[in-house]
Amino acid sequence: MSARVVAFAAAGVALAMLAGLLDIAQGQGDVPLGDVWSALFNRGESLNDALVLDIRLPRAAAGIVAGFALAGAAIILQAITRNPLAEPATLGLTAGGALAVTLVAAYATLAPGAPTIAVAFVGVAVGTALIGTMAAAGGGGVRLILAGMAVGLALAAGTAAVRLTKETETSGLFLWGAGSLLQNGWGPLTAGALIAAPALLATLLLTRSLDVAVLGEHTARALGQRAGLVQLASVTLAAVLTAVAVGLVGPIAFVGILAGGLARAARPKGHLQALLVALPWGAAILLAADVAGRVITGLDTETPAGVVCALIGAPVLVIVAKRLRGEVGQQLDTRASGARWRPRAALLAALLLPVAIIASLCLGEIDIGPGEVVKSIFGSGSPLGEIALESRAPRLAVALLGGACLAASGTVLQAAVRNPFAGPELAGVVGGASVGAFLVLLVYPDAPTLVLPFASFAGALLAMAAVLALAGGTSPTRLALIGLAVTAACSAVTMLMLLNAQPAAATAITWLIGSTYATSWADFRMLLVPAVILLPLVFLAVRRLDVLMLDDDLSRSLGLHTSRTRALLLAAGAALGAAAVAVCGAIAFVGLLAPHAARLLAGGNHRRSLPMAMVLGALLLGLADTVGRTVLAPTEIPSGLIVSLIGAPYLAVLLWRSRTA
Amino acid sequence: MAEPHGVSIEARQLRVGYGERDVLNGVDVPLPEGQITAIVGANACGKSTLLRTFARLLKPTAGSVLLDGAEIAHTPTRDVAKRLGFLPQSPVPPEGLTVEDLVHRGRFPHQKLGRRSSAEDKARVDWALNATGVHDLKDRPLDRLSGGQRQRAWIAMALAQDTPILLLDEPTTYLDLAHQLEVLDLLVDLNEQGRTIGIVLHDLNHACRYAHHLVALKRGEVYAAGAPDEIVDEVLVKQVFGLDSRVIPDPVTGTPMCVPIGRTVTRSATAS
Repeated sequence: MSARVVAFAAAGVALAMLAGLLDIAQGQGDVPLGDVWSALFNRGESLNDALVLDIRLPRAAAGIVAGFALAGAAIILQAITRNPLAEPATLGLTAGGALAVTLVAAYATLAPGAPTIAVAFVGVAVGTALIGTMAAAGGGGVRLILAGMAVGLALAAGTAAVRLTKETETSGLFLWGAGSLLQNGWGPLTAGALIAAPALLATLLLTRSLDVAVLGEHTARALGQRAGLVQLASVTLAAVLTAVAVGLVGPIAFVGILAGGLARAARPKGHLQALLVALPWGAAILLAADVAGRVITGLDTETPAGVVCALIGAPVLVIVAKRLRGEVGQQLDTRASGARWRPRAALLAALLLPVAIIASLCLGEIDIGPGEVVKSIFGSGSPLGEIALESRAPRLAVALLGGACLAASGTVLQAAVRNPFAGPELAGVVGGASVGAFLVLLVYPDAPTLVLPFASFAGALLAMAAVLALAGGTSPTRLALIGLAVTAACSAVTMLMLLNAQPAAATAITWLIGSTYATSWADFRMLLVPAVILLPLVFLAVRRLDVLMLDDDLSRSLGLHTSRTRALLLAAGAALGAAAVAVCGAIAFVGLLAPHAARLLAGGNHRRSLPMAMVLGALLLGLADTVGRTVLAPTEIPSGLIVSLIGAPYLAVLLWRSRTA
Repeated sequence: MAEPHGVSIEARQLRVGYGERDVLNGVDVPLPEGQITAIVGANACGKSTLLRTFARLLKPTAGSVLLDGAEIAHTPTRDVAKRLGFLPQSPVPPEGLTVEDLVHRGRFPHQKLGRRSSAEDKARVDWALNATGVHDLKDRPLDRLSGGQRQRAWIAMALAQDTPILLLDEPTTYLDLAHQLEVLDLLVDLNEQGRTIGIVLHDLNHACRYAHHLVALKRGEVYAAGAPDEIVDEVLVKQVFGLDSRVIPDPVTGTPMCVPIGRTVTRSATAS
C-alpha cells in the first residue's frame, strides 16, 4: 500500500473519530461535556447518562454504519457501472427504498430496524436489478446517471404523493425522509449493523473480482471470471448496503460520490485499497454533515444530514463536471431504435386530441353529451351545459397548453444536451421553480395569488441561468451534470423550507406533485403569453435543433455557432418549461416522455417530432386532468400524480430497452 | 451543379495545445489545391489535432490557418462551412434518423432561417446520395445500416455541404478491407471533380496509394512532406512509426509499399 493511500485512509479515520466525538458532545439534551465523558465511561443511570448512551451514541453509531454502507455501495456501483458518479442516490436506488418504506408505513405498521431495512431492500432491489442489467450490457456513462436521477425524481414524487394522501400515518417519517441520523435507542441500529457487517465483509472479498470486472464484461469473461455471478453478487451487496443506509437514516445523496472520489484521489491499487479509504471517509462525511447541520440551525430545528450532504455535494458535482474533458460514456448506439416517421400512427395521435378534448368536457359530476358540448362551445348550449363547461374548460385548457409547453421544452432540452433522458426536471427548471413557489407558499403565505406563478417562474429562470453560467454551454455532458447539481441543491433548500414550515407543508407538497385543480382562465392567459412568444421561436429553430443533435464538431463545421445556439435554445426551452411549471406546479415526466414518444411516431426530424411531442404532451396532461377530477370524484387526484403513475412504468420500459445502448 | 472552385488552405507556424502540453509545435502544412493530402503518423503525434485545427474546431495557441489567404479564426462560421467540410471520426448518429434526413442536414450552411428546403438543396442531396451509392438506402434508418453503409451516409452528408475542401478524420477505421477501399475510391472520384481533400489515415500503404501529397508527423512536428514516392522509405517508417520495415514498390500501383518486419519474424525466418 502506498504512503498516499495510507495517508488518505488515516485522515478519513481521524476525521470520522473527530466528527463522531463532536456529534456525541453536541447532541440532543443539555448535557455538560464532563457528563458526556463520564456517561461514556461509567455508564450510569442518570438522565444525562441515558441521553448520551441511548440517543447520542446510537446517532453517532448510525452515522458510522450508514456511512460505511453508502461508501461500500458506491464503490461497488462505481466499479460495475464504470462511472465515477454512480452511487445509491444518483442511480435512483435510495429513492426506491424510501418509496417502499413510505408505502408500507402508510398502509401498515412498520417497525424500525430489520423490518424497515427489509422493506427498503425490496424497493432498492428493483432499481438495482434494472441498473445492473443496463451496466452489464455496457450502458454506462452519463446517460445512466441521468436515467437514474430521472427514476429517482419520479420515485420521490411518488413518495410525496403517498405522504400527501396518508398525512397522519406518515408524519413520523418526515425527518427520516429528508435523511437524518436521529435514532431512538439501539434496536434498529443493532439490526442494521448486524446486516451491514457481513455485507461489508463480503464486499471486501469481492474487491478482487471488481478489479477484473471494471475491464468490461467481455474482457472479464476472457480472463476467466464468471461475470454474471460477479455482477449478481455486486448488485445484491450494493442493494443490501443501500437498504441498511436507507432503513437507518433515510435517503441521503452524495456521500457515496464524495467517498468514492476521495478513494480515487488516493490512487489506490485496486478496489480493496479503494474500499479501505472510502469506508472511513463515508462515515466521516456523514457525521460531519450531521454536526454541521446542527451547528447551522441549532438543535431544535435541526438541519438533517441529508440536506447538508446535498448542499455540500452539489458544488462538488459542479466541480467534477467542469473538470470533465470530452464526452464521458458517449458510445455508438448500435441497437436499432424504434424512432421512425410513421405517418398513419402520427395522424391517429393528432386526431385523438380533439376527440379527447370533447370527451373530457363531457365527463364530470354532471355528464353532458358531446353534441351539447359542441353547442356550448359555440355559445348556444343549455344552461346546464354551459355551467359544466365553465368549470371544466379552463382547467382543461391549462392542462393542454401546459402539457404542450412541457413537451416542447423537453424536446428542445433533449436535443440541446443530446440526451434522451434530459427534460425540464433535469435542467434545474423544476428545482428552481419549486424554491420560488415554496418561498411564497411557506414564507409569505399571505401574498396575493398572482405572486406564486411569477415567483416560481423567476426561480426557474434563476436556476437555469445558474446552470448555463456554470456550464458555459460547452459540453452537453457537463450541462446535464450541472443541471443535476443545481436540481439537487434546490431540492435540499425546498426540503429545508418544508421542515421549518410543517403546518403549511400540505399545500406545498400538492404544488410539488403538480396539479391543474382550480385553475382559471386567468391562469390560462398567464401561460398563453410566454407560449405565444416562445413557441414560434422554437419552431423557427427546428433546423438548428436537427443539426445540434448530430455532434459538436459536425454541427460547428456545418456553420452553426454551437455554444451560442445551444445556450439560446436551452434558455428558450427552459423558459417554456418554467412557464408551465409556474402555472401547473412541478409536473414531472411530461417533458421527458412526450418527446420520446413523439420520436417513436415522428422520427428524428424536429420539423415533425416537435409538433407531435406537443400533441402528445397536451394529450397526456389533459388526460391526467380529466382522470384526476372524475375517477374518485369528489376527491381530486393531483394530475401530476397520475402522470407519474403513467410515466414511471413507461420510463422503466424505456430504461430496460436501452440497456444495450 | 456548381463546379467547386479552387480554395486554398494552409497552416502557418501552427502551434496547438491542450492545457499545458503542446500537441503541435509550430508546423507549416499547406494542403495542395485539387489534391488528396494524407496525414500519417504514430498514435498521439497530432494528426487529428492538425485536421481539427484546419476545420476551425480547435484554436491555435500561436500561428494560424489561412483559408483563401484569410485567417480562418476571423472568418464567419457560415462562410467557413460553405467552403470547408469536416467529418469527425466515427460520429454517433442521433436516433430515428433516415439516411436522407442525415444528408439533408449537410445543407444547413446554405439554408436561410425558417425557409423551406430549396430545389438546389434537394438536387444536391440527391447528387450526394448517388455519388456515395446510398441512394437506394435513403429511406432506411441509420441504425439499421452496416458500418460501411453508415460511413458512406456520413460522407454523403459532408458532400451535400458542397464544399471545395473536404477533411476526413480516419474515415476507414472500423471498416473491413473492401469497404475501406470503397471509401478511398470514392474520395478519388470526388477529388477528380476538383475537390481538395485532407484525410487522416492509419494505414501508410493506403496513404501512399491514394494520396498525391503525404504529411508525416512526428511528435507534433512535420517529419517529412511531399509526394509519397519521394519521401516514403525505410528511414521514414523507422523514424515516424518506430518500426523496422522493407519498403518495396506496390505490385499494383508502383507506389511505395511498406512491409513491416517486427521483432520475431526474422528469428523464425533464420531458424527455418
